[in-house]
Amino acid sequence: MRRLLFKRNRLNKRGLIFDAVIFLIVNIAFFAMLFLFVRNSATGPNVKEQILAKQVAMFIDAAKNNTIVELNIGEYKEIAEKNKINNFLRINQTEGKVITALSGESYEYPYFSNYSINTTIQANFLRIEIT
Amino acid sequence: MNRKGSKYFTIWWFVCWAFVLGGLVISASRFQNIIDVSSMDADLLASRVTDCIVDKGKLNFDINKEPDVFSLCKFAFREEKSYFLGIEVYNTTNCKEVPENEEGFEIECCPALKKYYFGSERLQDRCINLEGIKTTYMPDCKYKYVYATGQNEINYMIKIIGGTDER
Repeated sequence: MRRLLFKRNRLNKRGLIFDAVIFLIVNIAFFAMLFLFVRNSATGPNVKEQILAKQVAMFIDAAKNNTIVELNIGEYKEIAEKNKINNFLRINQTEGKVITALSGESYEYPYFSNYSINTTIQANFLRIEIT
Repeated sequence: MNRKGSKYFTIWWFVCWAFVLGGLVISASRFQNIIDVSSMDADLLASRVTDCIVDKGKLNFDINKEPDVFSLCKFAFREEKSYFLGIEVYNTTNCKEVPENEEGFEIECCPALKKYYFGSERLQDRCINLEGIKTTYMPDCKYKYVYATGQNEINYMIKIIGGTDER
């Protein structure tokens, strides 16, 4: 391939073919990187941790006293395990925030209720006890 | 080696790539907050207050004193700048329902007998002074109306306003 390119280059003094191929490869690499970046921004762990934090905060704010909510978090647990994160969901009751961490960073969303909250994870289910 | 330089790799191509990359990074970071729940949060706040200040058609507080909604409804605005809650008390004889559009009707009242506001002053301005104006980038406010009998056995219409800055 290389030999052929040089051969063609010798015929074509400006090295058009060689340039064009490199240019094409660089372009493909550039747009592949862009595609991966957009895909990760739209569906990656950053978005998932946002969804989980907001979902839990909404459940807490919508709940009445003495409510138990069970939420299937299998999908999030899988992402956390893949990224080797143990404690991916925490509730800071003093500051009133749901904190999630599925990627390297963490995301927090506040709730306005002043309930006492107890969370436990059993298999793929998150159990939130609101009292 | 081609000493004249490449036909393809010109400075303009690199400028083009930089523009595309820059534009994409800016738009991706601008729309990082994909799931906007502020409207839902404001609605939850207003609904929760509606449920806890009125019990079986009776008001749970004396309209002449500022209600302690935080203990009544088990709330805590830990970040005060992020939430707004308003309770306005109207005399029912002063209110009438005015047809608005296909969405429903509007309740038109004479000035409120009592107004109690809690939380962010900035959101208060948005929810009170800009009521009815729909905007894309401004915080959302939700309004609930409920009829209830006061502790003095007089009927009132209560307007509950919930607003949040959290997205």
